[in-house]
Amino acid sequence: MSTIQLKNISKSYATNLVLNNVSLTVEDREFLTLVGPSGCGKSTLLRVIAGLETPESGSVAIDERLVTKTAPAHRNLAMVFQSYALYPHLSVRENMKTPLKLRDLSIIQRLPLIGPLIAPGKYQSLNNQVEETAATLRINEYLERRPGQLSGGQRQRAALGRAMVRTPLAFLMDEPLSNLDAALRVHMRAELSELHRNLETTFVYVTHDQSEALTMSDRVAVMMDGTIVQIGTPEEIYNQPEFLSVAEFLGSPKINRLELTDEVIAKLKMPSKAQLLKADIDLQLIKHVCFRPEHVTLSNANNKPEAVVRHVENLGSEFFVHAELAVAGCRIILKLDAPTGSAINIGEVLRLSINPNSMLFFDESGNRIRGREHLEDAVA
Amino acid sequence: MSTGSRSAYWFVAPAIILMGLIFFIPVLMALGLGFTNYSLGNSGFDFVAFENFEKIFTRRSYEKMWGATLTYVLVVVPLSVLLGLAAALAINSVTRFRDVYKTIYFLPVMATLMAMAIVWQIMLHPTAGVINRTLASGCDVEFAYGVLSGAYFGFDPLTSWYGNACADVMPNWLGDKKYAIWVICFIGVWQNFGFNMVLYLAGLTSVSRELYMAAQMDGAGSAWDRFRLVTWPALGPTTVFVVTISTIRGFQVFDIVEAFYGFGSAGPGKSAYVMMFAIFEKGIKQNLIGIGSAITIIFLIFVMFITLVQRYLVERRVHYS
Repeated sequence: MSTIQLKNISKSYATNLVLNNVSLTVEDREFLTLVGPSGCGKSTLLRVIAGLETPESGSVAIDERLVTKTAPAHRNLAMVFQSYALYPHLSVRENMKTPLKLRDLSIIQRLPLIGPLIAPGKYQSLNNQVEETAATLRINEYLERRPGQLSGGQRQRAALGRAMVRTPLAFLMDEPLSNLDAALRVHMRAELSELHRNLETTFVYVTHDQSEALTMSDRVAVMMDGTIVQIGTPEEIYNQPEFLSVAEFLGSPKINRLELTDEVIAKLKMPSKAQLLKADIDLQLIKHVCFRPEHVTLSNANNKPEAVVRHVENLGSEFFVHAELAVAGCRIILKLDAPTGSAINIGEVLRLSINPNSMLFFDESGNRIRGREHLEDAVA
Repeated sequence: MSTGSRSAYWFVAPAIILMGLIFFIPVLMALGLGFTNYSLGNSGFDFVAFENFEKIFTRRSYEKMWGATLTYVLVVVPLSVLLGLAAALAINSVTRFRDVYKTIYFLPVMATLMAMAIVWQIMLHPTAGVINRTLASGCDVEFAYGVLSGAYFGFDPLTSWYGNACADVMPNWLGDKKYAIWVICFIGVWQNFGFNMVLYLAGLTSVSRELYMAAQMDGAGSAWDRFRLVTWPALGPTTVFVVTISTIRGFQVFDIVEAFYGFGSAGPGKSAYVMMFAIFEKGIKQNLIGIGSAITIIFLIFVMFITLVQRYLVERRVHYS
């Protein structure tokens, strides 16, 4: 059991409000990701949980025990840092042993040379714990090496090992994959998820990378400007964003956005005025209409809107086609499969069909406007 | 030999010639002269083998040189390094007036030693100096006298240094051979630790903040634990450099002695007869180039040795990558 409860956390540096009344509950054994653009306060929030930062107001509870004023060392949480923060002068073994030593040994027992003589049994058990963890992470071969002699991926594992070795209540991870190269990052994503399943421990993971958030998490909390704007499963966050900012932050390539003017509605004819009215969406309120690149398909019908191809990105398995919508005067991106995409040339005029069900509407201040029912049902 | 490699020699020639002229040839000449009894102006000289070196290691007058030099190095190096580290850590931990503190501690490094020597001479004057007058005024204050002389703790005040000074006369700091080298050491520490502090401050900026956080997460609750786990190892390269440069500067000390005791004297009873001063006195003043060169060579060997130790440490031990 390890739930983490944050209530009304506020924190500011000088006059800059970094966290604005944030409340959050991390469930037991959950993989929760805090995601947001840089400077949104996600790392600060993680440090508040860790105890490295003290909030100006609000409370932190771990397993219903109030720890707002407790020192980081006594919260029994482990943290993995972006820079790994391994002690450069110690071998991987000593790095992993450090948290155990500081927790389990007295000051005298920690003394070099004398310590192991006084408490050989304790040292033996610490060594065993290190060996065990190292075996889980498959890092036994380089236990004697220093961090400087390791590759990025190996350092990452060593840092994980140091966090795991004392079986903490929860793991806090601050962008742990962002210093790895792209291929390794994707690989470590899978490994971290697997590790989470095997350890059955709570993970709080901070990243600015929306793909990490979507691929690894049980739940995602999107942070903007010091507040959590939306929290939910990756599917919810991706498909039903509550705010324009959330919709635009998640998904790669970025969600397409059109400014909805009367002219656009008239010429695009999607959604039609009748459709919108039937769905009980107040047209006056709608400022933006958004749809994901994968929800645009090519069409042969003459009444569909035209777009001129400006740029084609070949990703091998799929193609991103950048096209200029004549009516709206703006660029949108289409995600097409390889056979379709490879046939498209720059300058070509395409006719597009956008699934009305996938359209998201937002008002002037970026809040989502939901219809009473799905548009398709309204049509039927 | 191909043309390509011959042109390479032309490119390095200016540097090689310059280094030879201003470095290698003088060193080799000093080495050669160290084995002779040459004096400037003499038409000839004799080869005396190791006689000069033998003198340096056996004669009583050089015993004073070794005593003064080693005392200075062994006192000033550890103290100025530790004080430099302490000042750097203290400045690093305060949030306000950092620059003010930095300036204050660095001022002795910047100040002209000649001017500072005059100020210290006035302050250390046996009767009129502010230091002795402060000490003397303490004799009349019962509490100060009691604590400093140990009378409060049940000791006989006359067995203590302070009690004696009160009963008799205040010490003549610069003129008494009992104190002279220690005063020189004190001035050396005062003048040098600011420099070490700046080096340590630079070293501290390279310590990653995340490492401190990691240490806190790992349970290093006290400041001492974090210092042991993060700060001290991270300052390893800085410490090696600071100790090396302080030691070399320690062996090089000359200006303080010269500034305090003036041309030709090395303190009361030659008690501050440091190595550089010996080179100056023998080689320049007494025109004994041979023995002056011999001391110079010994000095060079010291410096080389320290530098080699430093290189070894830097390459093998304190750089962790």
